[in-house]
Amino acid sequence: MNSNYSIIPFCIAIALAIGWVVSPLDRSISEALGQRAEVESLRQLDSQFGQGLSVAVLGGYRSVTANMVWLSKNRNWEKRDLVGTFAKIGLVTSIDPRPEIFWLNGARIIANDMPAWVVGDRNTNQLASTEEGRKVAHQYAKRALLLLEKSRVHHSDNPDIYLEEAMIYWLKLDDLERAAERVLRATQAMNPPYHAFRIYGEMLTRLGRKQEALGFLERHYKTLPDNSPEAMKIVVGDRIRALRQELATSGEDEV
Amino acid sequence: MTPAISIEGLIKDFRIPASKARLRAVDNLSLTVERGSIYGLLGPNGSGKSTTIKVVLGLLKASGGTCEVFGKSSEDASARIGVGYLPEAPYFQRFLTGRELLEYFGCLSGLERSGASKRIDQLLEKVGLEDAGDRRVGSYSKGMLQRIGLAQALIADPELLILDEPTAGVDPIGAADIASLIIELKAEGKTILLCSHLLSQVEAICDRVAIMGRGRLLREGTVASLTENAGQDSIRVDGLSTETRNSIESLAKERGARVSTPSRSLEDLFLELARDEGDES
Amino acid sequence: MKAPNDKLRWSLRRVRVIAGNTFREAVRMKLFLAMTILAIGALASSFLFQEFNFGSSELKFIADFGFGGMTVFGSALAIIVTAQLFYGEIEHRTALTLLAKPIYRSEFVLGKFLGAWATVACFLGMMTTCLIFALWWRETSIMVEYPDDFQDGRIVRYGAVIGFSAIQALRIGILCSVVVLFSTYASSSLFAMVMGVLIWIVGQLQHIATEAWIAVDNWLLKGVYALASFALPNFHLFDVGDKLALGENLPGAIYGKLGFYSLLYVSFYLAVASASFNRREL
Repeated sequence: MNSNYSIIPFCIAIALAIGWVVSPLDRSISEALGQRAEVESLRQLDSQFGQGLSVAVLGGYRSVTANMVWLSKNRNWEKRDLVGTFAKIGLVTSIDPRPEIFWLNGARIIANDMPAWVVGDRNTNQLASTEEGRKVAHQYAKRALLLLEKSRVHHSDNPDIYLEEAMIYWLKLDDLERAAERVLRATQAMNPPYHAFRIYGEMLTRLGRKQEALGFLERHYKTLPDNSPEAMKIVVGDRIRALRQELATSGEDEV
Repeated sequence: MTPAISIEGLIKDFRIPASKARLRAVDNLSLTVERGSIYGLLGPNGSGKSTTIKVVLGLLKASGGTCEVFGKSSEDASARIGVGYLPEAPYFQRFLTGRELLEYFGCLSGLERSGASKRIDQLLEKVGLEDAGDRRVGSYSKGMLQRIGLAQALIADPELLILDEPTAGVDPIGAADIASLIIELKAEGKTILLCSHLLSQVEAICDRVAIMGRGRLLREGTVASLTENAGQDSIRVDGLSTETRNSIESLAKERGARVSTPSRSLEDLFLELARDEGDES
Repeated sequence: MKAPNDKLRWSLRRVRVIAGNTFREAVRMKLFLAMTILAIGALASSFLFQEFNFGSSELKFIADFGFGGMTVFGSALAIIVTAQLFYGEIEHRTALTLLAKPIYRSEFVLGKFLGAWATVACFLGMMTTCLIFALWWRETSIMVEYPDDFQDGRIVRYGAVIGFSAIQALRIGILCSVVVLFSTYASSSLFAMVMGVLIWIVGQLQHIATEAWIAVDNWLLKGVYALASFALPNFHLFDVGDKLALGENLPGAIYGKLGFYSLLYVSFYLAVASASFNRREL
């Protein structure tokens, strides 16, 4: 038999004392890990999801919870469930806005897949050829852009987000100017991918700003490493030569 | 010399769950176990023997009185230095082999690593388990468990051995072997506290015996003093004819004597006392 | 051999012997087999992500699930294994013969705790090895499919995975010590396990109680939240998987601070467990 009752209050008192003594250490660790800010932001989102999800998220399983919701979104996607897919994209980016894959893939689904679901697989050509179709495509393209705009809070300087916006402006809204502006921002962000520069050069060419394109690509060429397949120095070099030739032919410059 | 075990006015109460009442398992017990003796502790089930042993081993705390082992309080862990214990119906770690079990308990008892292997081999042979030392304890029979239990009690060559039903589940030959072993250990100068229901065995090997009932000490003393009848003499008649024997019996009766079996066995005494306790309740 | 008149010194050697035997019990109880199957199952399930073509983000998914698995399974095992290995001795009465030897009960408590902790730490080690293998294997494949994502070489920081595992071992240490404490008092292993689960959940949400006790006005609620936030350890501090999976660096001092935090709580719980076990009658 046990007769431990009288030590319980004593132990609780010591536990409280220890908790009080380590609370500065607790605070310092949670601040270093950014957990205090996280609690604040998550508390605001509490109303958006059910209690089970709240417990899981606040209990430290935020990433895993977001991943699981993301995976479950695939089922909605397979069933072409517009409302469900849209809701889950919103939910995932609320639970865990940090991974860019949620924003990028979410925007792609909204901009590319949802219009096709609306008009039907047999009528996807209408998205570009008819007034109604173009309206649907534009509507979802703008929704996708809104989603990407929301991502700025957590991905303010992410070149991939800019590039995704550029593709939507260019391919869905036929707005090459805005698209080029986004690609330029991508090239100015931290660690821009090499292909962003090549795309910008191409966009300037299509906009008829060949001189500007040539200058841009020449400056870019000087920064490229020789031994990087991703840099495609040879391809850029070829493009520069092609541009020079075009400009020479049109009488604007000499090689 | 300090006795091996010295118990004075020992009281042990247990709290009954969900009640303010207490159950008194040992009630004002006093006894002394001198070094180098074999001391029997007897009593029916529920008489407080196991509780007393647990207090001696520090597994329970006394509610009153004192209990000392080699002059140290039984609550002190150092009081268990030089003490070996074989519990009733011993339970051991089933996943260990016999050898590993002895090594484990040997380490905990302070057995030096250098001599451990030799000591383990000796003990396995002594208890008749030399062929089963590498088998898991979980595969042992009841008798084998008793034997390995005895071996682990002896592992650190203790001065005091406390054996609770050492022959339980052991065949008669095995029981006789254990009895011989106990006598051998006494000859080596060890002290043994023995609890057993085999009264014939206790009678044969114990120097002193205490009989408990309902937590109290009922009788205590040497076997001889407990089994003799006071105020009686015995005359042994051997090799006499029936006629002569009858004449002697008649003469004794003429002089006012009662002629009957002169002594009783320990078992008789035990049963008498146990019955008396039962009647009192 | 010690004589009866000798004094008994508290011994780390006896603690080690008890810990070693406890670990051996876990291995022979086929617990290790179950844990290995669990770890391999977790590894195998992470390969399902390749069906989704996430590109390099698949690695984050594998890392997230690996970290989550380590946390959840590791914590669950800590509770079950410790209760079985500690309370099991009392339940099966093997503690009786053991404690009749010249050992201190605190040595028994510490030895059992270390044996249980080592067992769960081995499981963490297995899961870590499996996770590192899964990440390395998939990263190698994905590097070929999506080279643009790997311009600066491999993106998984394997040292961080080991760092995460070490931090979980600290969390599990606290959990094991809590279950040991309840086992010294319990009359069944189920009680110890249930209390362990309760402390795990409350400890995981403790950081919310800390925010709440400051914010709330009601005195009764304030008291309840204060009790939860001060009396229990904050397990959420050990949830570093999110940061590591996103490729962020943990400040080096964090390891030291969490280590000290864990040591403090483990020491406290084991001290109380020893005091409790000293009073336990067998």
